[in-house]
Amino acid sequence: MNEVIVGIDLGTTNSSIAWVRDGRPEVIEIDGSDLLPSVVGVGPDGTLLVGAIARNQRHLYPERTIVSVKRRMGEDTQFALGEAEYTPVEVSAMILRRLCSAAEAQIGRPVRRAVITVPAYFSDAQRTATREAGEVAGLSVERILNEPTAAALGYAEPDGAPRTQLVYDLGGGTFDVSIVRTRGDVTEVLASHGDTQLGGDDFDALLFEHLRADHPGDLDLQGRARLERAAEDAKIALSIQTEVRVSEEHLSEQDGVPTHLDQVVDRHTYEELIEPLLERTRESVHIALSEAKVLVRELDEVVLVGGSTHTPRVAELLTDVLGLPPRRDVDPDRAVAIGAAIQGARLSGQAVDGILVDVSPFSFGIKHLGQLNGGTSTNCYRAILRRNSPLPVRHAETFYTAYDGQGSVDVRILQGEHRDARQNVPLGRFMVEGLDPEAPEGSPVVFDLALDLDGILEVKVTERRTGLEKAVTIEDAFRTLSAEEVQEAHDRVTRALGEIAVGLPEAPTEELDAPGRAAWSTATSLLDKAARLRPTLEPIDRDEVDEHVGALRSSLESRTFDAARAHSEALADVLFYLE
Amino acid sequence: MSDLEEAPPVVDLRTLLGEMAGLKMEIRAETQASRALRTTVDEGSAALKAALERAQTQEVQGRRGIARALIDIADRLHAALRSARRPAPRGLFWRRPDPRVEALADGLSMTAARLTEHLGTLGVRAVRAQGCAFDPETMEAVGTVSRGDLADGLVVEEITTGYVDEAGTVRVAQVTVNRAAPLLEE
Repeated sequence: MNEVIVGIDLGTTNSSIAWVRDGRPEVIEIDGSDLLPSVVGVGPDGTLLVGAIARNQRHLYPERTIVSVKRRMGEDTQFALGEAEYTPVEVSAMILRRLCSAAEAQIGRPVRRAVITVPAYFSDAQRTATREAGEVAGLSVERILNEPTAAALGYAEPDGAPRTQLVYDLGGGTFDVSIVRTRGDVTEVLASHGDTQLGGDDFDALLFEHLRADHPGDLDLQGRARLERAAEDAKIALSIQTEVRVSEEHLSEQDGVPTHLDQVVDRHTYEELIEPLLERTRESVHIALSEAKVLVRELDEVVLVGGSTHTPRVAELLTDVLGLPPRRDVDPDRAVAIGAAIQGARLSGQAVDGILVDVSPFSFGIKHLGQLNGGTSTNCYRAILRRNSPLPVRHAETFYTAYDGQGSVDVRILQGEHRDARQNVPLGRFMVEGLDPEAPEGSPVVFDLALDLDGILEVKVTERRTGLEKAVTIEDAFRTLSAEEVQEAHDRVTRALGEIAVGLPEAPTEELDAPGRAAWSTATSLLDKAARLRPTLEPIDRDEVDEHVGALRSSLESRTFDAARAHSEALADVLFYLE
Repeated sequence: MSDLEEAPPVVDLRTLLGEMAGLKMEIRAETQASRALRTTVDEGSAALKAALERAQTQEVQGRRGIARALIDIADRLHAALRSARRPAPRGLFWRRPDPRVEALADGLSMTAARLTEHLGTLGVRAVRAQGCAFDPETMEAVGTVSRGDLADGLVVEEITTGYVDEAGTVRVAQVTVNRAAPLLEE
């Protein structure tokens, strides 16, 4: 058996270690986490501490705790650690040794060889120091690998076709973007640009201040600790949900009276808070592209690295700027260690599977009312879970009611990528009834989709005003189209084209009042249903439907909405018996 | 004894060597088969061990998930208790403690104790921090005080309670610690 070559992401704040087992990269757990804090210290009893334990004492014993040693690599300096002094190389070696001992416990064999990653901007002296740290830790350092190169390796194609990738790395405290070009076995970083004072911790701080601003009373230490934790939890939740309720009872006191925090934060508000920070990353993207002399259209892929890239606005921003949706197959938190492990496996002659993690083979979403082919249509499709998302995945989006007092929602779940819902695969349909009759047009309804490794899709619809909720489970979301379904889809499209040929009423260019919009929405929905049913109808029924359709269309075109409502009711009655 | 003794079989050296070689190959094949069998057994038991470990990990994670939800409620109950026990602000007139607030606080305290019992059934217990020596395994120092009358490294205030189970730390306690000795230069 070949000797294992592990991959190590030796980070400023946290480090991680991975290896390839049976062709699949795995990150090794240390003390119940994928990440080991890059902190070394000497405890009260004189024992050497590495990781979370050392971090726990950094405020108490700063003179015998070392953080962010990576920033000092290559410097001729010494750190006092209790009675002794150590160089940055030696301190890094302690972190590496701790990582390797965790790996040895899991792998069951000694770990003697490693690939270690460094930032693309590291100088020769810093790289040499990193290599020496590995050697001091008893490792044969097979390769010093640039972090963006490692991240890009996670997406390497078996055919070795040349590619240019943009690696966007937004961690807890630092940000950088790199342009990486791969030709055959050679991967090079063309340019790298970043900001060492920007990261997810800043997002937490902004959310903390936002929550704090609306909360009266002074915060004591306990209150502050609770609110900091709540802000971080809310940030994580907003990567999945469109809104989150932050409830912290007895958080503080004002004039001797306890005050509670109970606040809903929606994703839009959060995104507005962090937008100025993300704008800075946008500038770095342009600078890196310019320095690399690479045009946007020359990019083949955008790769995300770092936990802070889970925020959906990051992917949206990159899609806006680059016209390419970022790859999400490899977990951004693990991408660098996994890439290093892949490099290690290759060096040891081990084959690595193409797909690194289980990802969703399709997008999943819902049909909704919106703009399609230049007009208003009930056949718009919006993907909520994106293709290539690592599984399991959960994501929510908010949609809005089309008119005042909308009593129900007809939910259609679809699998596919096409913006016209009729060209995607229908997976299920259900009605959510009993929505608040007092709710005005534009009231939010949240669609929450969760997909697991077995293709079980859970769909939950919630009316935000009342909390009314309905959920269904679809057992075989990964199914592909049968020949009949292909034919059916083809027929749907053909019918749709026919429908366009006979002409649905053109979308109104003027602003309609609320009753008008409601009548328009109901009518177009019924016309759509009639068009779908028409080919299946007996001639006598078809004539009756055509009669009502003609009358309804005329009333819409003439903007006589009272008549439109009457014709809609008549058409709905007929269709009810024919469906 | 018979007059005709059976003549000893003629042993042809080449045949003997051939048979020896055959036997050797047979032994080698059996050794290989035995090794393969052992490898299979080893792999099987390793897979079994890994599956068992995975199951144990999942069990611990499941238990910890429930424990964390209970701990979250315990945090809030303790916050309510602190608030209820805090003396009312002094106004122009001295006010007697409100017996209803005191009774409410007593009730909350009983609920908190019940929650601690439930955590105990999950194998989770609170870390005793206040008045103890700082332990980085189970505590995180988030603040320091400097008092010469107290021992260095003594926990003077518990900001959030820590919890442990048999597998390790479920959540570290956040504490303020006395730093009697002067800070050395870094």
